Amino acid sequence: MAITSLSFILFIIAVFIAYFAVPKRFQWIVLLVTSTVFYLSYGIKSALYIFVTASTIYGATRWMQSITDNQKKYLKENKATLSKEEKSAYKDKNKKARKRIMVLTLLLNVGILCVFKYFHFALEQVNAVIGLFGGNQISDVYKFIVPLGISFYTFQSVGYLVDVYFEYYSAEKNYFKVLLFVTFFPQMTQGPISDFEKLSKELFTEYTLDYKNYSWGLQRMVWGFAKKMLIADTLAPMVKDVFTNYSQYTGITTLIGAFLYSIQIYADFSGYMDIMCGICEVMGIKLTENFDRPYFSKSIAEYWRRWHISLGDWFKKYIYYTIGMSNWSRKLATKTKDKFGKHLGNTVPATVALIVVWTATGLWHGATWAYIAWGLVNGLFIIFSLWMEPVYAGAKSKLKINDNNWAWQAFQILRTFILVTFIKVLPEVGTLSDGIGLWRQVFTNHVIPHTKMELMPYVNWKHNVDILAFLLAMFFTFLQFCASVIQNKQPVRAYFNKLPQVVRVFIIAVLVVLIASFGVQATWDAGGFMYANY
Amino acid sequence: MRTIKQILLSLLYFVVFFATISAMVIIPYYNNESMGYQDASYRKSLAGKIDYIILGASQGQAGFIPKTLDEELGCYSYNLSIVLMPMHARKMELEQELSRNDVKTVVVEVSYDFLQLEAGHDAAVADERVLTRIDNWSGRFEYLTKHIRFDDWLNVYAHSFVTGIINMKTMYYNRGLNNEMNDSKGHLYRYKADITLTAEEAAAIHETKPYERNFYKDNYEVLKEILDICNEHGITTYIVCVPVSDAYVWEYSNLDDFLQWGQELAAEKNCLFLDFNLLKTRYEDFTDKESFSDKDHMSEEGAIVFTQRYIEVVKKIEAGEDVSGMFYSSYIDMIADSPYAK
Repeated sequence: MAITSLSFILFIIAVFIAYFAVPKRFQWIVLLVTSTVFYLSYGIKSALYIFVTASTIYGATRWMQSITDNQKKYLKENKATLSKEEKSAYKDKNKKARKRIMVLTLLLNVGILCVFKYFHFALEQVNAVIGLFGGNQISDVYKFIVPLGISFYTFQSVGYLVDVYFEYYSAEKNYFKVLLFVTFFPQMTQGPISDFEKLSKELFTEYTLDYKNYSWGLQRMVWGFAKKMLIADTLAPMVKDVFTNYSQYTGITTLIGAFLYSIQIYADFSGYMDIMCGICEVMGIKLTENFDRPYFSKSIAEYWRRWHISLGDWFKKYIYYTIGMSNWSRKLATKTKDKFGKHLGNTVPATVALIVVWTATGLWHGATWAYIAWGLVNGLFIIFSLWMEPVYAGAKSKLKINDNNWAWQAFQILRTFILVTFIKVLPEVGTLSDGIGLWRQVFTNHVIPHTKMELMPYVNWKHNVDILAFLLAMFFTFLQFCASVIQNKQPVRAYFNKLPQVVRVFIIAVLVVLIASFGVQATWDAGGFMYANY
Repeated sequence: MRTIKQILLSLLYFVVFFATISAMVIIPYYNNESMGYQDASYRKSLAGKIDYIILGASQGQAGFIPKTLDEELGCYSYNLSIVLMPMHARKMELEQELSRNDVKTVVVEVSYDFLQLEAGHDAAVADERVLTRIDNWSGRFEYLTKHIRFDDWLNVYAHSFVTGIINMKTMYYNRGLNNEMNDSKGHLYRYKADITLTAEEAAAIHETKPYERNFYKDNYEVLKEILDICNEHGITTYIVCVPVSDAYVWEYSNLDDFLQWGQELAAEKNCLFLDFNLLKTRYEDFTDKESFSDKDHMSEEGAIVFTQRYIEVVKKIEAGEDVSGMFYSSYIDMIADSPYAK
């Protein structure tokens, strides 16, 4: 069931009606049933894996919880009779048992993810090594169809498993509630990757139909569809053209294409989030936000705190802190502190953790060297600024640069946007050498285009429909920019809702007409959501 | 209760605005018949005259010139073909013309992939055009609900609205001015393009596209129904494959299976299958340099020659002559003489 299809719209209407028609205590069951239907609409085989994940995670967390509960009970009952050593030995034994359960479940689920996403890539590398020694290549006969949203639901489920292991909260007793947490349809295919504690509060609270939620939710949904279908999908064939033919285009033409890609991917991914957050808002559910005006960031590190926030938080919580808090990391910090001082003492262990995190982030996005390089380039920028922090601070102080100065801020934002754009295109062009080739083209081909056809050959200037669609995409990109500027002070919808109801609905109706016409036509050529492939 | 009222009011506003904006664009497009493929009123005006029908898709629309047929065969022909015309639309339009004309001959134009078109984008574009050829809203509604997949309704709306917007000026001011197409009686003039392959291109694409009978089941059933209708009305029926470029044929493999399929179908339905790709004079008559507008559509230059060849063949058939000598007996023999094979 494509998100941009009429079937999905009808499905959502049915979900809304059922959700508010049933007694409130059954609302979450409506979500479970509809989420299952949604997932099954993509095929039963694919659904099998999500049920395996949900079931193993449920079983493991319940098992770990029972060990914890039994331990508490046992220690309480035998408080007087057990010595300190006996208590400690008992705790250690239980901790080891819980760790075994956690690690096995983690291996199983991450293993499934790895087989689906990385088997072919790993085999390619093995064959490359075999090739170096002139051996016979292993034939790749396996054809895996990657289950829908596997990267997202696996990370979310594993997060829950680890949280229960560390006793951040108790394991859920009701299997079906865990199943809903894993399969909840608005977030299953492209996130956000949610925390069980937060999401369960939202999912299992009882809600009443509220006009503000209904109105704001639908507005956000429509805006999401506009971003996806009028901006991202219109730009998709143009970007594809640039990535395919960059070697024939001038530097400036290629550069514009790269910027269009930045607009496209933001409109695509944040558009999806707006659609899904809007759907949830109508039902009273608040999803974790995944974007916070990322193109207004002043550094790469800040950009990653504001782009795909839930993934960044996941890596921070489960990888970065795990490495940072490990014994060897602490030892390394102490050693470097003793030898090189406080700044390097802190940055060296952080650097190691960041390299691991960004390699993993690259791999999460795609099993290619280009994605790994993309992850490492991001990481290197962040590491470099971390190391250079004292130098920057000194330079700024000498040059008397005020951080609150608008021109300085504008410079930082523009610089970050350009850097982010260059990094973003690296894995998207094709191979790593294609990505570098595109960079080279931007900097080495200085031919000045004289006509709009030469400047942007990927726009079909002879076809009125295409010109109009492109102009609409640019207009909505401008609107999005303005909305982001306003958003800094107050939610745009707060302004919008000051308008009379009839005017608001008229604007929405115009938007829906444009989406259902130009948007639907653009979606024919563009295909699905970009992040659904990750 | 107040919430429900507010929601219902906003929905009512929305429906009114959405319908009004849509109607302002779509109704003039559907009713004013300003696009080339919108010929409902014109065809209605020809009621009682038409006795020779070409029923096909874009290949048929580009290949058959009704005026030449009229002059040479002494008939009154009309080319009903439009781009990607779905089978159920062909049947509907045939039945409509049979109800108001005494049709003697029907040419069912077929191509290598004409039965493979399913629901989806291309089918939606074709279905949308068919909708605009129907001259009443109840007929359009019936066609929409009966023949167009629900998920494609949005595609049909999109195509209708965008075509309406882009051609708004034509819609409002040039009502019924699709005379160019009316004059040609459904035939579409296409400009020639040199599509000759280089030796490297020819080597790269040779037999890369296998012909397969993976028909969309509904299409095949409706095709059979069309042939049955023709039989019931005692209509002479020819199943005709219009020539495509040498480059296009060169790309395919297993085309003799297509030939076998056509011959079997014609035998089953008591009609004739004529594949003009197999015409022995094809390499003199049609060249990739002059006779095509793209790989699988004839240019006007090609259409003039093809229509003449068609008339020659049909005249011989009507005179009781055997025309099998005019055609290659198989694609293998024909391809062996291809300029790309030399």
